[in-house]
Amino acid sequence: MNYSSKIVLAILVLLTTLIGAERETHIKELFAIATIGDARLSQQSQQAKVKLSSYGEEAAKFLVTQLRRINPLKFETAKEVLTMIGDDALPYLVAALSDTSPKVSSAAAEILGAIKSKKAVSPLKIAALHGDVNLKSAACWALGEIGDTNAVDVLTQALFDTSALVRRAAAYALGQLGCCKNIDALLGLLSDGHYSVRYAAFDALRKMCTPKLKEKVKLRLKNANPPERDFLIVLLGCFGDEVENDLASFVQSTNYFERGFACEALGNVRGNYKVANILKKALWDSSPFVRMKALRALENLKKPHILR
Amino acid sequence: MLYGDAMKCRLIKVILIGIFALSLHAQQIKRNDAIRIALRSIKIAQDEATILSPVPRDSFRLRLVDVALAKPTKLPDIADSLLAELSGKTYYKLIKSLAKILDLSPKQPVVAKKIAKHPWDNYPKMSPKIKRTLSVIYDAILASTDNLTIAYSKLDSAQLDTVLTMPIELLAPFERRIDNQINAATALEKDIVELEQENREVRFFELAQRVNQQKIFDAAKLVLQTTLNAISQLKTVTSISGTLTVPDTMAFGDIIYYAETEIGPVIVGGVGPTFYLGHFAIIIDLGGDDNYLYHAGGTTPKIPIAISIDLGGNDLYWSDDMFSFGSALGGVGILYDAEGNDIYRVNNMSLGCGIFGWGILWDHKGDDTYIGSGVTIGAAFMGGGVLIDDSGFDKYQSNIYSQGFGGTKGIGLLLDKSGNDSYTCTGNILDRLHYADHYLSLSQGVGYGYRPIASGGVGILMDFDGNDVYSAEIFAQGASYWLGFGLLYDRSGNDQYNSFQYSQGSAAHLGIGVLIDENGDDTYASIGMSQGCGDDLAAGCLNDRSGDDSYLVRDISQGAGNANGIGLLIDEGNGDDRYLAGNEYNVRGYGNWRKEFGSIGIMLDLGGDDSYNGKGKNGAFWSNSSYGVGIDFPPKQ
Repeated sequence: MNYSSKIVLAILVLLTTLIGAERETHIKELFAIATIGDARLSQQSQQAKVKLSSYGEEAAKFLVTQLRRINPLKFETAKEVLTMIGDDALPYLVAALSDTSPKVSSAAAEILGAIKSKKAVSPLKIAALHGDVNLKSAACWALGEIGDTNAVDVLTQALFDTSALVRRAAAYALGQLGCCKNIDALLGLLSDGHYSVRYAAFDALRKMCTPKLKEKVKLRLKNANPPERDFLIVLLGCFGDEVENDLASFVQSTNYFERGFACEALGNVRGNYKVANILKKALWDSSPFVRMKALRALENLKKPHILR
Repeated sequence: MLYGDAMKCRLIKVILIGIFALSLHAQQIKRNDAIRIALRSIKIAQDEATILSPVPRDSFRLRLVDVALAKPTKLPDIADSLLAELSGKTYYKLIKSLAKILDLSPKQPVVAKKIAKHPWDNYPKMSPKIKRTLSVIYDAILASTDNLTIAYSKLDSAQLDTVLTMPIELLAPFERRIDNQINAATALEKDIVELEQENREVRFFELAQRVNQQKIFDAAKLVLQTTLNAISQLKTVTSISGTLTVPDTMAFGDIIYYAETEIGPVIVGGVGPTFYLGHFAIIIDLGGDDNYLYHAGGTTPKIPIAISIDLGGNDLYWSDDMFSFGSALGGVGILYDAEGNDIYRVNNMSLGCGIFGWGILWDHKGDDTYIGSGVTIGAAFMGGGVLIDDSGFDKYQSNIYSQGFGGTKGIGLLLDKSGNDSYTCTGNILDRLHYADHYLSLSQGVGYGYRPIASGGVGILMDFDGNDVYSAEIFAQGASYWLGFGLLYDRSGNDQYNSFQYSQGSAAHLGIGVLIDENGDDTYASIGMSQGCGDDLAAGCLNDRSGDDSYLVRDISQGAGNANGIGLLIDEGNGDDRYLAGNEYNVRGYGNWRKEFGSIGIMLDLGGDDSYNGKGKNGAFWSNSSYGVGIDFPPKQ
């Protein structure tokens, strides 16, 4: 290499470094504008977020460091923009899963879930079993959002975690996956000590309406106490015409809560005029709770079928 | 005979009406039973409706906050237990109860050292009673000073400086104004400054953990106990005047005694008017219309413990200096005013304000006016700030962090026992994150924490009697932010509550906000996130226990849970209430879905002939979300 080539090369290196430094400064400036925290400048902030996300990997590298920020606005904005960046942010986010700060690692897991990239499944599976409580629950939630059935075993294990936060996220995730392998564990969570875990398990179960589940629900109903019993009655509604008679008998119960929840369940039994008649009759029930549930069930029958 | 029949008839009527009234009363469902029914209707058992905090417990977290997060549907009961703890006791016991809420031990024995000689012992022109009173206060201050030394012994002088200056920076009510247009360089510069500030805040809270709050309270307890004894002693003192001349930078007017002492200047004023211009460790004024124009009963770095006692007259307390009039930074400040229509006018951090210390202002009688800006009128951060007004028609006016405000590891109490009072908080810091033209109040029973570094404290506003008016903007009237506890408890009168947002039993981000109104025909008006609203793992509760009440909101209110929060609105009694809402969908028993589970919203009306616009009906259940329910009792079974 002659002398002049060396000079050209040096100039090129210098230029690249300068451009890189300028881009870095620009990323920082955009982040500063995105987090200016003034309602009057919200349009500028939004524009800055979009522009920042267009820097892809370069911005991701910087934004992951901002997950350490104490200011909630900075932290939330970093999360939002990293989600907007998507796959380009994956290497930095996966690395952040093993960060010593639970705040950073759990935020990284949440972002990976929001990005929904299957490439993140393996590291998230490890995090779901071995992190701190917040990381484990965030990783479970993320695995549910990604929707890869390879995570079922890990999530099933997480259903038995000592923390309700983790159990709830695992139940929710299994519901998202719609895998019917874990019916017993999810049914067990209907008697969990925290309402949010039970609701998550219930939401998961009603997406898995197999004949096996129907029999198990019926069996559990024999000995279940409220509020588990209430969930089981409503769950029966997922099995359509097959449980019409069971639900009709609950509508005759002396307990007005059972009558009401049976009406709620019947709201999911479509295309059956007998059900509609039972509900119409329930509109004249002595209990306002039953009347409300019957009315909502009838309204539900008119709507297109959407879970939740 | 005819007269006798008429009497019998009347008697029977009265008995029948009585039986009817009793039966109505008997029919009324109990609050906790109603909550249980509401929870069952959304498939939840009462004991398990808890808020699971994903945030690790920091050393500033208070047990009260943990209990409330574990039992959000029992918030009215928790508020009642706080009321029982704080009412009907001597003020010494009340302060000890406040310490208990701060997880401090109220029972540590503190003994004042006996000082052999006092500067006034041989002064002939002062009664022995006043001398004795001065002596016991003096001894108590000396003994308490030792406690303060121990309290800060784990900090070197630079660290102590950080600890005592940073709160002023954190709480200083100034608005960071930004132009409508901002360039990139300015934004970056601002971001760098903010990052530095974040690091300094972390360092500050690390250092704050090293301060021994128990020792500061022990100092406050001893000084308070001595001051209360002194007040009862001084009530029997014969009225006298004096003509003593003192340095005119310190005081002039009717002065009986003055001395420079080890603890600071000590002064005794007579029954005539006196002007107090300097800073005193002890002021005893026997009466007259006096003017206090500096730190009366407030601390300075040189005088960490200050006591001021005024036994009568219409007084003016006016100071722009921080920590004036029953306020303390790193010490104890007590101001007692026995009677008269007094005017208190300050700027920031005064009027019952305690920061790493205890500030107590007690006004016994008279129609008083309290005007301050920020961190005032019963406000505390890492300590206790108390303002007690026993009687009179009083006015409270401030801008922010006031009227029962508790910052991290602090308890702020504003207790007004009687009279038709007005509480106004106009706000001087724009809520610029959300609005171009609405201001933060953080006042009138607010607990506030530093998200996400340090849990919040406890802010309580209690008003026992009178038709009161409460006015504020954002975060007010029983509200809380970040692991704090805010309570507004009004016991009687036809009251008006006006606010903009996050108020009237509302909380955000793991906070607890409660508003209890026991009696009267009350009016509640707000825009949103109010009247029993919990936002983001927080719980808010509005519980009105009787009267014909009116509730007006726009949205996400009247028993609404948002982003995994819990909101309760409970109206008890047989009053005929009116509920108005701009948005029918997300009010009155509304709980939305966020992330992986639902928020809880419960609205309960336990009796009366009520009227609703939109959702809600007499004797009915209603709901349009899985996790929200409204019930108007008695349901027609």
